Amino acid sequence: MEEHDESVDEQLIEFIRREALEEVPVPPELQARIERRIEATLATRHKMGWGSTALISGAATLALGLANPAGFDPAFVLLLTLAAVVYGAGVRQLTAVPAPRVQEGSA
Amino acid sequence: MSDEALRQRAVHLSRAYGPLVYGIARRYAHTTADLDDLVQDMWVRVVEILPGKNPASPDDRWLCVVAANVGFEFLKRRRRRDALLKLFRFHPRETDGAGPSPMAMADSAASRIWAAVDALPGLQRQVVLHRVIEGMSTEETAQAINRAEGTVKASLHRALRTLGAELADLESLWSSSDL
Repeated sequence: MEEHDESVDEQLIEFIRREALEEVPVPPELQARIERRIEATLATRHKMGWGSTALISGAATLALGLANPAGFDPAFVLLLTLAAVVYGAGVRQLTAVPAPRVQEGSA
Repeated sequence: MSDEALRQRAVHLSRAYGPLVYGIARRYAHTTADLDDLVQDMWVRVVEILPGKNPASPDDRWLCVVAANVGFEFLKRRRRRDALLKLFRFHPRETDGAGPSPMAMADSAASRIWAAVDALPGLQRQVVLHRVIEGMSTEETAQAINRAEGTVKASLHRALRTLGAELADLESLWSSSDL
């Protein structure tokens, strides 16, 4: 009985695998929009510019430095700057936004 | 994977398997504009998760799972939006999303299968997508959905019972009579 069940399951799985995939031709203009969207998505992955990254890094350095006024020796400042750059780069990465949809008729 | 390699791979996949993804998108979209947006969203998701794709997973089946998940999320968003709009009766009467999807093809076996799969509880649906559609092993599926192998087996068993009952009228197509 269990073997029968397993066999039926296998047949059902095969049927689903075989029948679920159905191809419908993509209109050429839609295919072109898809490819433009793929390219736009990759092009806009890093939305935030380096200027903003530097600004955030600088602000973070200043905030951290002011929070530790006693610790302003050169090694600490270097460490702080490094941490702020990493923080800025992280923010830059996180603010990447998807590319806008490619509308019909857009170049 | 560099951005250029990723772009080339994604464009290649969209050309090779576009009709497959488009066929799935049509099951979830209600209007031509929806379909256009949905297909693009599916390919954006592909670009986002392609670097983490299991190389052992066949491209076409993996794409089907990605497309089905994006389509299902789209459908859920649309249902939530429609429910909200129904709540506020003063919205303009532009209910192009009401009722079953007009973009879907006639009552084909594929349409029936996807409708039955989408009606499964969340975990069972994920297991069916990975185990049945994508063709992953029990172990790979367990890793993909972060569950124990026993859970995967039990969920698949329950899902197949439900699907078997839902597709019972098509049984002549999948069950051999010599059993």
